[in-house]
Amino acid sequence: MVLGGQNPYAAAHLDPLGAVNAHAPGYGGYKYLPVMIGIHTPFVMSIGPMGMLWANALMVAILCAMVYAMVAGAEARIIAIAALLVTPELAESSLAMGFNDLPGTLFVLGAFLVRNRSAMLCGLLVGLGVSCKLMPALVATTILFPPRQWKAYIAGGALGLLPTLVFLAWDPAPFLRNIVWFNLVRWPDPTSWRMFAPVWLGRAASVGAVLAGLGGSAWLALRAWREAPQRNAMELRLQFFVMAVLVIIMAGATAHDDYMIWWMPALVVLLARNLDWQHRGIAVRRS
Amino acid sequence: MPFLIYLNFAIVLPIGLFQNGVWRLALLAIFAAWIGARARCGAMKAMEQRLADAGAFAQLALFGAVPLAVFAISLASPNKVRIWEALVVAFMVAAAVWRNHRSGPLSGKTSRLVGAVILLALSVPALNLLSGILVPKLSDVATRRWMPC
Repeated sequence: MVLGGQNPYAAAHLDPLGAVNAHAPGYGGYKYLPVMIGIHTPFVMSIGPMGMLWANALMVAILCAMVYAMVAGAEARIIAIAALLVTPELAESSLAMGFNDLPGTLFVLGAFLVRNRSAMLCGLLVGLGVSCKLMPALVATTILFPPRQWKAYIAGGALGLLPTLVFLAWDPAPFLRNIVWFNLVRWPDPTSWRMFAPVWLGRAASVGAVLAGLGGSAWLALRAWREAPQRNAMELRLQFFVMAVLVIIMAGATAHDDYMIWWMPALVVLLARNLDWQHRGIAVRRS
Repeated sequence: MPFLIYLNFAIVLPIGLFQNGVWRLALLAIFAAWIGARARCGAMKAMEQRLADAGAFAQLALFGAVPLAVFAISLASPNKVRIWEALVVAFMVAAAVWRNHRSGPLSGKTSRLVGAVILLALSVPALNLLSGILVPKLSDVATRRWMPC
């Protein structure tokens, strides 16, 4: 469609369920951001629809490599990768059903990995993550913000957001409708408690989750500004990221199984980095 | 121990009961509270210490119950892949408990166990990929353009 010069966000029937869900025909366009198209197109063009599964299989392999790089020690690495591979939310959603949550997760984990080495690369990965799918990269944007190298981070982020800006400039109204407004007006489904609650309560929960995320990020940035880099700074950020994403999922209009992919790899890394019981003061009786 | 809790959460979340928003919220909230508390709260550390002191059989019973329950539920479910996933998680729980109660570096019997864990862990994504290829169930808007109407 894009190669043929058509704007996927202005398409009326690309996502008929979206239009039904939002009770308006204008919401039938593509629901993800342009980098997602760029990632999947080579696979789907060459293999067909099943290319989604092979793309996801490749991304699962890259995810395992990232987890390996973020965790130290042979045993901790083995446990982390094994736990990640047996996670049904990852295996079923990505490899059987072809959901597209992995690219955004990879960009975010990559940003965590490089944050202390290059603020620009970190910003670029976060920007590309946002240009792929709003969640989870939008949460990481503030959590990973480096107060001392903010110019490089913002420059990298702006570079990563370029594909999004191109499509936004192409036709702003349908882009904003399908990417931003859709998330605000979509009707809750049975996986969210909001389906059984008054509308105002659900919206208040969403606003509260966003405010809590912003407040926590500001606190992290302030802490990073005041204190010298600490050994556990990565753990703190990972923990806050996992908590913030979980809270946003819990406050959302939908809480699908595949959304868990946004935070589960980060939690696996966090647990593996704190695997040593004795280091944490817990005595283990061994035989 | 945190990994056993993670595995229990991961295997139980996708089952039918927790597709309901209220139950899902309750489980996610408990899990989020555990993540938040375990880093700082002394009570969580004391709880982990009690679990560590409880012994291998108590740990097996505690953490093996969920994957075995998912296994039993999945026997009647059309999703047969879940049966294998639950068995693999049960095996990993047993392996982790056994490893926790052994000392020393990875060698001999332990390294064979590690090989088995990795092989079984790899079988879960492999089986899901095979299932996705043999019984196509692509369900995302990303592929809708390519799917027959």
